[in-house]
Amino acid sequence: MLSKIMTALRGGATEAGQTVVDSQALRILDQEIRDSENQLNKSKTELTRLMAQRQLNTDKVRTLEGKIAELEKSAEAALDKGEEALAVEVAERIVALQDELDAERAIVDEYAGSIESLRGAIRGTENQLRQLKQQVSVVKATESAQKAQSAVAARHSGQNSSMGSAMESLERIKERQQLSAAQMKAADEMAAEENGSTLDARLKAAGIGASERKADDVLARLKARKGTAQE
Amino acid sequence: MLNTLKALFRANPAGGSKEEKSADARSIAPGLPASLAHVEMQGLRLDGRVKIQLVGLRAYEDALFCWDDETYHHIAAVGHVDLGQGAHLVRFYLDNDTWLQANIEHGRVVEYKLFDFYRVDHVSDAEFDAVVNGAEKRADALGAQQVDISSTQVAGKVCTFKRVWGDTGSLWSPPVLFEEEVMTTETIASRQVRHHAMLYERPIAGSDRLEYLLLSAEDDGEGSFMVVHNIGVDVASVDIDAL
Repeated sequence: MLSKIMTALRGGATEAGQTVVDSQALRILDQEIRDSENQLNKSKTELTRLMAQRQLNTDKVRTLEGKIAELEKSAEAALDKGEEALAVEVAERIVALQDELDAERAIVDEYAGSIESLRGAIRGTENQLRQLKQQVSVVKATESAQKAQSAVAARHSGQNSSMGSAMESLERIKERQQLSAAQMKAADEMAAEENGSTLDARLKAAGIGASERKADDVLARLKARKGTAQE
Repeated sequence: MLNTLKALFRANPAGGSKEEKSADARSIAPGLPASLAHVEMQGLRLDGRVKIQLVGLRAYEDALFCWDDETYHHIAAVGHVDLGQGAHLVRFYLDNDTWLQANIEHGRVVEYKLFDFYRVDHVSDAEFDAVVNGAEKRADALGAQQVDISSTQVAGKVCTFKRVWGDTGSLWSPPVLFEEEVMTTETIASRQVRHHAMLYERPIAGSDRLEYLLLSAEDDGEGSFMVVHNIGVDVASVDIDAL
């Protein structure tokens, strides 16, 4: 789906036929994003249900552990009194509860495994969705900018237009070329997003968050100050 | 008051068992509020049967409470007390003159207690008023600081229970009033019972367990007045086998 958009962009999204294809593609993509979000919410609901279930089984484990400890004390008391038969009866009960405890512990472990894997899947899906949304918003922003520019050009392209000179026409052509370039850049960014975030790269280019550049700037400033002081 | 009531029935504040909600929880009794229909109570229900395993208790001869581990008892009646703010008591009355109480908070059972009607005294209207209002304020009366109970099993054995509710320093504390709605298998409509109750407890020698005395003056609304001494112990959910 994404490759279609990129192909369409590279092929010249300003052309009418291609614009139709692009707008449909974006609409489909928006719907797919909404579907993914719904699925994500369902997964989260399921995760909370699993967590609640695990808590209940954990509570039962604690109850059984407490009960077994209490019965062990009872068995000791029975033995102290020389009531062997009662001690055996209590021990049998302990064995039965111990089996139940082992089963409950296994269930708790199973829930814990399911919870962990579902958590991982949710995290992965959230990251993918976030990236996809960023990419789509870049494409939409470029498209609306292009529409605005086209409208400006249309307003000033009439017979009485003050923009009728060859120089102005040339300017408009330049603008269109810049828009095309911006679109291609957006498409490249989208492709780069798929291979990893370009945010850092763009921030660095803008001089934001680029620690090396900051350090260079500071050094340069210090050097300049030093040079001024020496003069 | 509500906190007091909730604390009353809690022997092990740190270690109550929490029962799970179940989508297919059986209807426990007609007449109970819909909010309790989904509370999982080990399958306990009106007209059902229950076996409670308390084999460990038999190791302590100091305990007054006696129990038969092997029998499934018929649940002949179910009582409900709404304590407000999501707190409820549900009582399952068994065919052997005992009752199992589920203490419910926000849709979950936080603890079970099993009580035995240890002693029942029928009183007149005037006597009843004197009991609930502490007119005589004598030792061992409802609301007294401590109550002595004689064992029915061992001659000469007396156990002292200390009051749980009310001001510990006060010699007499007014009983707690609550309304219970009781539904039986034999009647179509539920009946109201008004309880003026006070909880007492004592440690069972040699164990970590407590034994309770719930002293209650009961008015059934039909001209019958009783003072009931209920002796009880804590029951773990895993000890309950309900059919």
